[in-house]
Amino acid sequence: MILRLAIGSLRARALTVGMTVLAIALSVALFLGVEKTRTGARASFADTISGTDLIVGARSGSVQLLLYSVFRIGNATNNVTWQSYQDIADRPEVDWIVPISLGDSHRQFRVMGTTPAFFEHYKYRGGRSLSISNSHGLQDLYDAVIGADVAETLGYAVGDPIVVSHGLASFTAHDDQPFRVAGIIAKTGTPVDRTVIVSLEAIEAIHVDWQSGAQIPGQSTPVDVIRNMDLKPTAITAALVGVESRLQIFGLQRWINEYPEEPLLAILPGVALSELWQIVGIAETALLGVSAMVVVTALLGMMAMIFSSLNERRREMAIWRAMGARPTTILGLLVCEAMLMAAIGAILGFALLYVGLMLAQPWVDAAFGIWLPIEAPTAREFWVMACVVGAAAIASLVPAIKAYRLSLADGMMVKI
Amino acid sequence: MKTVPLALITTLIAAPVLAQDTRALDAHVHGVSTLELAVEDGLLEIHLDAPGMDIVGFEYEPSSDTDKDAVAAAIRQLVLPENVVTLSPDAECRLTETRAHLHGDEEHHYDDDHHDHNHDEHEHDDHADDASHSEFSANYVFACAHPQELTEITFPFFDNFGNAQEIEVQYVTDAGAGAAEISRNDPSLRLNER
Repeated sequence: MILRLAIGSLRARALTVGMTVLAIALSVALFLGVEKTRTGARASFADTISGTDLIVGARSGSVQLLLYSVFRIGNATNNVTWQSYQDIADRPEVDWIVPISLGDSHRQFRVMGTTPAFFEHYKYRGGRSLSISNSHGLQDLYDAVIGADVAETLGYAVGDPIVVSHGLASFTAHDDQPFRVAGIIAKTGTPVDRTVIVSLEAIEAIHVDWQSGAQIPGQSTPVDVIRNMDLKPTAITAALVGVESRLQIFGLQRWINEYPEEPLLAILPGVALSELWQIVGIAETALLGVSAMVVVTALLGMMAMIFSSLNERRREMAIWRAMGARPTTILGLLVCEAMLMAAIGAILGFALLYVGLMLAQPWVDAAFGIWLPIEAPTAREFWVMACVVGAAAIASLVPAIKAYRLSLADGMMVKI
Repeated sequence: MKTVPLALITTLIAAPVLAQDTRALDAHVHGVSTLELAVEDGLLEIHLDAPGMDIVGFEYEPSSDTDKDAVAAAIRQLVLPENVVTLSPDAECRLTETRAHLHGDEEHHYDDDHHDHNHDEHEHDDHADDASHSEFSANYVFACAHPQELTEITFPFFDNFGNAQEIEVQYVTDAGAGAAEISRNDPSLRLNER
């Protein structure tokens, strides 16, 4: 009975009610969107690397090392000498080790030098391996395997030639030694999608005629000569390490961190991520707090709307009372109306969120590498909705109690 | 008792060989201990490093009998894991190996040993005084019947050592690696949560 009356009453004031519902919907969508982005970002970061026990690089901060070695954010402070790399590789605890050499680029994408072992040991999203469209991988010196985004953005297919640029701001190109696209990696949702992978030797090869960051003028060693050269690298940027037994991770980490010949740093990816979240967590909480305040503001707006409607509905209320409605019925009617508005707002907010996600998902993925999953609402999200409806009920109690107290006579008398 | 002088002697001998040309010091924060924890195939290994300040209240080389007694008592406490950690009883972990010792700062001894080679003895003396930090280490290995039940570890460590304020924990379990800061106010670590 009350529900039917409430629906009818809301319908009669469609415009003001519509605006209030829209405000609630937007605030709910914002709140859930922030929450979704937060969990999506965490999951994307955590899914980027798995199965790697230690990352070794020059001594800097653990978060910095993780960011530049895995996420290609920022740059290395120093390189790691090949000799130190060999020393680590020779440790009995080491099951496998994959070197990484960064620093060159192709258009807007980073070029990474590594060994074929990378394709075998790099794992993402809980142990998934990379799958390459053409399974040969890096066979020739001038073979390059490119990520899905690289292929899509630049329209490359297997067999196409590509030229690597020196450094990250590409003003000089290694155009004397073009590469050939040997394979395209299926979409992973990790920074690998935006990476051009070549062999470690190839990185050395394209720098043969280069000294102190510039090409020696007039000098160009023929490719045939380079192929026969000893292309052992002198330095790498970082290395991914797998350890025989988990119990040895900390021992090896301590050994690397105390390695006297070179200041090195070994980190556990998961630990560095936890440290990153400890830093980012403050900003996340602030963001969540702000969006929660937006929900509160929308509910306060609804409360103000009900208050102002009380004036114009004085007659209506009086007629209800005159027809025999008890004060509690009036109270129930107003609370019911508020809860209905909040519920419609929350559901609409959900719909807005999903529409927004569908529109923004490809863009967010391409621009930030964060995959926002579109999935059924979680228990937590239902809980948020219940909270909004509950809060609306509480907020509407204030005007409802006012209406409850207003005497029958108040509405019947015509005030001038 | 015997392990202390032995450890000192070995570091005295080993340090100059290892640290020929390096002058590097690890970070050392009073009140903050570090703990490493790894679980694999039912084996749980825990390694604790605690600054001497937190354990016995001083970090100079124990010279008086009271100091030496304090160090010995601390090591006797640390060698018993129940004074440091309490594991979830459901995991049914059995202690298989335990060690605890005090190791002085290697660099400190290195400095001492090389005084006669150094051209600036005085400055080096100051440096040596600044750097004379000692640390206690403890290592425990457990065999656990149900390692997946190892969900919570609490730290009676804080009750036994009044100067300790914080433990920085790094862990690796089947669920992955992670880090946590355990404080005196909330001395518990939750593991294997998803």
